Amino acid sequence: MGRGAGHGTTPPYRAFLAVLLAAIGAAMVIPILMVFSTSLAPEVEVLRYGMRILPTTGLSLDSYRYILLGAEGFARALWVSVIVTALGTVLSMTMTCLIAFPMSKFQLPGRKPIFLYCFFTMLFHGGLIPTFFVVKAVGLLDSIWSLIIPSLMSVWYMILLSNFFGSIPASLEESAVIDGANDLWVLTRIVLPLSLPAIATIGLFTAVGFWNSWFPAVIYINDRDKYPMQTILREMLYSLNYSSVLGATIEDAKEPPSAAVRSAAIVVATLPIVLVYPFLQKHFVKGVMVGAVKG
Amino acid sequence: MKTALKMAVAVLALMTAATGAYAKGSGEQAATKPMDVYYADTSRTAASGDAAVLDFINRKFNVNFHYTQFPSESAAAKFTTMIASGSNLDFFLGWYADWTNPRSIDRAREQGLIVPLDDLLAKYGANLLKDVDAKYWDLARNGGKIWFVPNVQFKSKRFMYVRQDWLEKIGYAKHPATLEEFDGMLRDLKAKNPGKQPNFYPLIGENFTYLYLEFLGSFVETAGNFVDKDGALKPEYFHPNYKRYLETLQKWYADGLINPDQPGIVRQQEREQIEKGQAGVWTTWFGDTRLAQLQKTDPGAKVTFMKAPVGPSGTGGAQSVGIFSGGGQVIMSHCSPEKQAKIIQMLDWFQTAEGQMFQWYGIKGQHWVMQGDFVGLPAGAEPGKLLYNTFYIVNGGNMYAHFIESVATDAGTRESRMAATSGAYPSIDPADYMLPYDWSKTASADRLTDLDTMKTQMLTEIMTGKKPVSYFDEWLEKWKSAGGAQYLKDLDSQYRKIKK
Amino acid sequence: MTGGRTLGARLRRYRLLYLMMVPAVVYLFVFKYMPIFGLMTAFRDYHPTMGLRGFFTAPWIGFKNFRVFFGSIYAGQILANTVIISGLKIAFIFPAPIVLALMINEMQNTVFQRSIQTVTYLPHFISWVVIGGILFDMLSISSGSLNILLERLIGHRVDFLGNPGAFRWILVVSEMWKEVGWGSIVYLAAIAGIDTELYEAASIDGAGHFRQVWHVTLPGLLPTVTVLFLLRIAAILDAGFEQILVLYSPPVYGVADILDTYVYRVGMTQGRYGVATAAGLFKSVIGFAMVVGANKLVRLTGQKGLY
Repeated sequence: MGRGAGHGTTPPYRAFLAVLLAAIGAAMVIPILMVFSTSLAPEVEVLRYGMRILPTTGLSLDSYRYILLGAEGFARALWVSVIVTALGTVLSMTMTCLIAFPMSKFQLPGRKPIFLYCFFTMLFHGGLIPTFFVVKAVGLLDSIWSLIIPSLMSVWYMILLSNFFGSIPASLEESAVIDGANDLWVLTRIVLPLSLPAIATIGLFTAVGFWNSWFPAVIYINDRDKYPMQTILREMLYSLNYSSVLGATIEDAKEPPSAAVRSAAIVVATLPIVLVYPFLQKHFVKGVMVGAVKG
Repeated sequence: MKTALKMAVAVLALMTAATGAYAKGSGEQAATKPMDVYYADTSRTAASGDAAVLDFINRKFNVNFHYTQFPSESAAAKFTTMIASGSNLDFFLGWYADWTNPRSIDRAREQGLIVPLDDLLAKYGANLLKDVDAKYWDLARNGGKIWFVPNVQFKSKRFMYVRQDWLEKIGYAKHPATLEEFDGMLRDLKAKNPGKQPNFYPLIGENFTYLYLEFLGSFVETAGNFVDKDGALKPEYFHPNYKRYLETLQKWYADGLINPDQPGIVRQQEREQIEKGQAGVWTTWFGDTRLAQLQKTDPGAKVTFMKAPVGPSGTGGAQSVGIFSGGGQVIMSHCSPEKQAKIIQMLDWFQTAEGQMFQWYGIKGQHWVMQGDFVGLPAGAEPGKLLYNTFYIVNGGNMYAHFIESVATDAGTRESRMAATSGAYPSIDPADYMLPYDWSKTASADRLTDLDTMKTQMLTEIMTGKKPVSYFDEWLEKWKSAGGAQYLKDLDSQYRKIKK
Repeated sequence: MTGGRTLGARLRRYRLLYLMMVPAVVYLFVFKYMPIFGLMTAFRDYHPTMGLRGFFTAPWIGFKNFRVFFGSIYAGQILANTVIISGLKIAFIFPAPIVLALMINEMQNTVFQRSIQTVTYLPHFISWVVIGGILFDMLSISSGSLNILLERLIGHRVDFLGNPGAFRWILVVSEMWKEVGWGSIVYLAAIAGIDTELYEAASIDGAGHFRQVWHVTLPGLLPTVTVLFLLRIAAILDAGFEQILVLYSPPVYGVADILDTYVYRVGMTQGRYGVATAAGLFKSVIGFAMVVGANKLVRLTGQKGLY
């Protein structure tokens, strides 16, 4: 955490802030708690009362059983999601770091046009169908790689990363170059280690992006065995909203899942991130450049 | 010894003959491996069917049947990309009617993606040709050829349900028949509150459109476009009774008879209201009594159909069956002749009574049994598991014919259930027969969404009392200038073309 | 840096850097630039059954697709709504994560810090479909818990979700609830990256805590804030499609209908793929203009800007 944590502040000030933060935290927590409790509540109670803050008539794991053991292929989809997220994050971070580093060097000839080349793609996109045809032409249809490669890089993250890289003092790199290092060495041995908060952040965002993504599978993949977990979950959460414009045209045959099942679905989808995040948090806690330039 | 040999030879001969007959009968099937058949039903966005049902289909037709399920909000995107890539799609339920889905049948035909079906039907589609009405086959023709197998269902799939146990509690032995009686029943329900709800609003619709259409028929006999006294086809706004309908809606809402969240409500919320026992009368999709869920929290609950009340139009809501749904099965042109034949054979079997029951309820004896003239669950099955069309995988025609068996909510006879739900108010909306008209090519096409938005907003504002009923006249003028005038022209011109 | 005088010399010196950029450049070309041919469908009567060649052969209709939303009587309304809602969100939701990050940073107790961080980012993972359900449970007139409470307190119920006056604020507040924690992660990372020596130098110069925040933390955050702000401006016509689709209903179309929701309805009822592309193209052009303009302004003030 950045330097200055409470240093030189008075206890009443800190107490006030703490209370404020606790209130904000509570405002976040209560609906989360509702979701969590509903996932553990017996179905009858949910039918009768809707979502609860705390279940009152006992706990039940039925909703989780329905999701995890049900015939929907959830367990396999979970595995697909894990693979896609792991592979995707590693490949994506590599590609993004590789370009963010040169982008952070304002003296590089041609930097600006290349930046515009990248940035332009953020604003103008062909859309769903054209991208589909490209993915088809490249031969990725119905392959798990279609969940990874088309979303390999986000220019947004590249910009953020290069911004972080740029804030590293030039003197650090210069001393390495004087000692004979090439750019790759500078990147991997100096810049990356010093950018751990940035890497952790972008890595987390990237991983979450892959983990939460559900739409590409719908259009690129026909084999249900290759669906990631979020797509299966999304199918379970369908039919919650019907625009009145549609009226009586599209029908659902199947009973939509109850609030309890939906809540369990959310918990299952979110839990991995919640478990992973604490490992990344520590990178947000230290200032990392103490004494780096002293020598 | 000789007799034993003679007997052995005779038995052998019999067996050979039998095997031969068997082999001939299932000729190609027994000899070849199962054919992969890919299907997409664009009318439904849910997983349906279970392993046993799929297995049955695979064995019966010697296929590997794959059906694509569309996650609801992405259904259009998924379907579009499947057509664009031609992959994993052999036949699908395409839509013809313009205001529901993209005109996938027309587009597919124009691009040469689907095949004409005349020869196949002649060879393998006897049941289809016999059962599906000739006028629907007419609609399926273009350039002298048949391009799809018409999908015949309900015209209006909404029905009204009522908490029968509550009605009995407050002394309604008979269902109300007229609008006045219905109004009285709503008020009685609200006043007496048999469910002992803290805030009770008797009437709710799955969404606003459903509610609107349910009672429109009591005022406008077609519950939609109607032919006025000059022989012109006009939307319901121009009907003499229309403003009376607006007044009725407004009064019901103001008196707390309609759930106040109605304008923005969606299906899931409506279902939750019903299941919590906060609705007395509701209009929803026909398969949706919510009875199983209701009985978990309120074991004494009883739900029955209720016919829409007869109003100034002399009739009630337009609920009718056996009407062309606006869609049909098409076969993609990349399929081999054998596969095309196989598909028609499947559709033809699904058209039979046996096929219908199978589609709706699953395998007889395993998923359902007949109990009198109800369809019921076999002994030991999980209660509440029998749902309409849980199992239908292929949306074959004439699907409505057998749902009535499983409406195990009314102690009345089959006839009374039929009367309450179908045929009572046959659809006479002339616009039903204008489906071949391509709205996207009309001058008013760009403004259809606006007109629809205007309509919903006007209805909401008047019903909730934000605007008086007199506002309607001013609104109609705005509607005309926002594209309504052109819409009237287009509507009438196509009607005159088709009117015979 | 030691100078390479000729262009050739400099290119050679930086050759490793150029090499590093190759994967990304190729990727962007294949998966972003090639699909851009599809933008032509905004000007054509295109349907996906026409396949890939349809991009080039479908009938040319000029701006007809654009006229679907520009020619609507609702055109002014939907554009105004889009800008207003987006503007409100930028004004309120953009600064909030910064403030939250600063507040979290002030805490000494790391356990408390970490738990607040964890708790606040969780809502980001709940999809709008579910939040919509929760909001309805709270705010509905007939059975919303908040309304039941209000009735006891002030005697009558309030229509939140159907009330044009309240609706925009519901959009802003619910999105703030969902995103403030997640958004603060970036700023916490940025704060963590500030050289601690700067704090020490400042305190040696006699700066108390608040002056340190003012002179060290905030300037340290400024480049990140600028970049994120410029990126947000690029999406100025994105007012929150999924959220609004879930929460809106006809009574509040007047204030909540945005370009995306309108085009969505057009697509649902008429399957007009080209209209959606046209709307996307329009948003991109406006966003592009905004970023170019804003970036110029930023550079005028001496900041680095996006490029």
